Amino acid sequence: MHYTYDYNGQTHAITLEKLPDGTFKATIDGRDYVFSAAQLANGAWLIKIGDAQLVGQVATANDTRYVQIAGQHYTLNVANAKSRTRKRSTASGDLTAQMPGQVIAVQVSEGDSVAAGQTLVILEAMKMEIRLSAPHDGIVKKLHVQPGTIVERGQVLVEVAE
Amino acid sequence: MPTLQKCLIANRGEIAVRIIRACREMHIRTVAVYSDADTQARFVQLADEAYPIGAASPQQSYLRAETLIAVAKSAGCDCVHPGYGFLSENEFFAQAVIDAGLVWIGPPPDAIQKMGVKTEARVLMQQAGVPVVPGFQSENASIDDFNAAAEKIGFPVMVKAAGGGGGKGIRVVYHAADLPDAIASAQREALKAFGDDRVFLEKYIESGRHIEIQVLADSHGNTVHLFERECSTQRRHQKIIEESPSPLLDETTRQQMGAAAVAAAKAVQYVNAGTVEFIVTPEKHFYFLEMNTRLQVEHPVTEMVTGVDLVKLQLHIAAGESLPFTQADLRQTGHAIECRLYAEDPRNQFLPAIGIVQKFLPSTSPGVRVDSGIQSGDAITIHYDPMIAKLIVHDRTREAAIQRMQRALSDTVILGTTTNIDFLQALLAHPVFAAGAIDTNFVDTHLDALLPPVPDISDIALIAAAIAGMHGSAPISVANGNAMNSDGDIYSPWAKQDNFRI
Repeated sequence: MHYTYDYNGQTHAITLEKLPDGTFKATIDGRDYVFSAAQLANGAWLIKIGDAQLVGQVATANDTRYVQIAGQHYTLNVANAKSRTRKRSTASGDLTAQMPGQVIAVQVSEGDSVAAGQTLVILEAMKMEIRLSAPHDGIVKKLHVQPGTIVERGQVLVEVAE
Repeated sequence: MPTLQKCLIANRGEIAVRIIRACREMHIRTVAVYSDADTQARFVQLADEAYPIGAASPQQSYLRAETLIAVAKSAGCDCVHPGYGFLSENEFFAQAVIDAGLVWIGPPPDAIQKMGVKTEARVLMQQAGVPVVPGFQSENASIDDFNAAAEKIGFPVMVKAAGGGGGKGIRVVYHAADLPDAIASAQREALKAFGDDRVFLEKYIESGRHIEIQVLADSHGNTVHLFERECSTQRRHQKIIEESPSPLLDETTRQQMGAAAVAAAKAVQYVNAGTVEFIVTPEKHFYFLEMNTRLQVEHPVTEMVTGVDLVKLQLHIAAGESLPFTQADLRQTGHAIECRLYAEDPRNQFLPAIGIVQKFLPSTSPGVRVDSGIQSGDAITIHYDPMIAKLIVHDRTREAAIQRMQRALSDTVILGTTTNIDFLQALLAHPVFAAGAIDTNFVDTHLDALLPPVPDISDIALIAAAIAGMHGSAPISVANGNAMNSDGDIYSPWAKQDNFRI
């Protein structure tokens, strides 16, 4: 079986095969490992390679693989997977939500001139305020939200034309 | 006074779990209330009874005083524990509970009110001989009033929520031009967090230490302190790591602060558990900041070093019993540290990381206590604080406690959401933390050094991902194939491997 994961901007490929004796062989970038693996009652994987053994935890959410092993956390993404949540913002002047939340204030109107750094929209999530400011000087071309709007991460809130 | 039989818990999450546990030990039945977002929550499952009270937004559920009291009455409760946050420091709610014939597990409404109105508290503290920070609060103050007061105090000033704590509704303002905006935004945040939009000003003491004293008072006039908690490791006024004893204090200053905290409590005829917060300068001058008239998030630190169960004592005190000890009986033993585990992304401006906690397996090592309100599969939502758990360790020395915490953090499995665990590890490993020299500005001014780089991938991590992928995400049979139990608490024998004996 071939698996390909994106991690921190790089793609990593691993080939895994089950051997007749029940152990596994992994090949990563020309490096071969033979190991045994057993899943524990709590879902963890006990992996033994030679004299060494490690317990790893893995969780899956859509195309994301969360791995904890040897005291480190890694977030991997299955490479070449169809991405449903492609960033909806393309124009550099668009103001997007950095996190899901609720718009609690819109401090500009369409057609307003705004200065770089000026607060345009205030979002709130988990009792915290997040102020979203103009990325550059310009004019508010389109407002997509109003106070009370629930927004998702990456959603365009305001379009600012130069 | 009554023996308490059945307690309504007017809160959620880890603190609701904590209170349920104390009640259980005292054979007090528990009633949980929950919003639409919490129907599956751990505290709801643990309580003896649980009732829905409204929509996810706190204003439509956990802040609905009348609904909470109606549930308490109809469920046959004889007392109400408010936890922290929400209505815990709302004197009107406390009074309404008492007026409904229920026992309020907290201080008298009058003491909450006096400490809640900071101008009044300041006058009272000065009368009691407790030093205070210069500040300003006035009901219905205009922006001009605030401006004038800020100029008089001198910038930088802090805008703080009169109604709250926990770092919500706080802004530091360095220039007069920024004051109106800071006040407006602090008011909005305070209204949302505490149901009260009043704010006040205080001189901002840079490079101070935040050290607070736990007090306990019974209704028979006995008041004691349970030493200090050092809470200087903060980011934007949100506490991250708390410990006791404070590495800064000497015994003389500790005794002076303890005596000042007891005097502060007595000045408002305080009863039950409370915390007196001080800002302490490098020269060990201390100033009263405020009194939190409730249980604190970081109360376990005090419990670890004193061996006192603060929540059970809150219940005993509310039932009219006397404190079971005097000041002379109390000792600080060893060193305790608490880390707050948050679902947040330190590499993305610490923004809350919303999502499902697919796996939560807290450390179960010796000397480690985990106070948590979540379980594997729970969602971190936009509605509430993104705290996943509090990890508390106790050991003989500060150095040993730090090592124990480092191990406990690396043992703890939280998968499915980004957390601040790496950030906490970087903090604990920092030489300034090790030296016990962190002030309240340290984290904000050294953030770059505290953000660990994304670790390089290791082959073993890829192997773990692939082996899990090959077998699907659910626990399944392997090797000679016994079906596995997914319950995280039970370490049943593993599927046998030829090369492995149990």
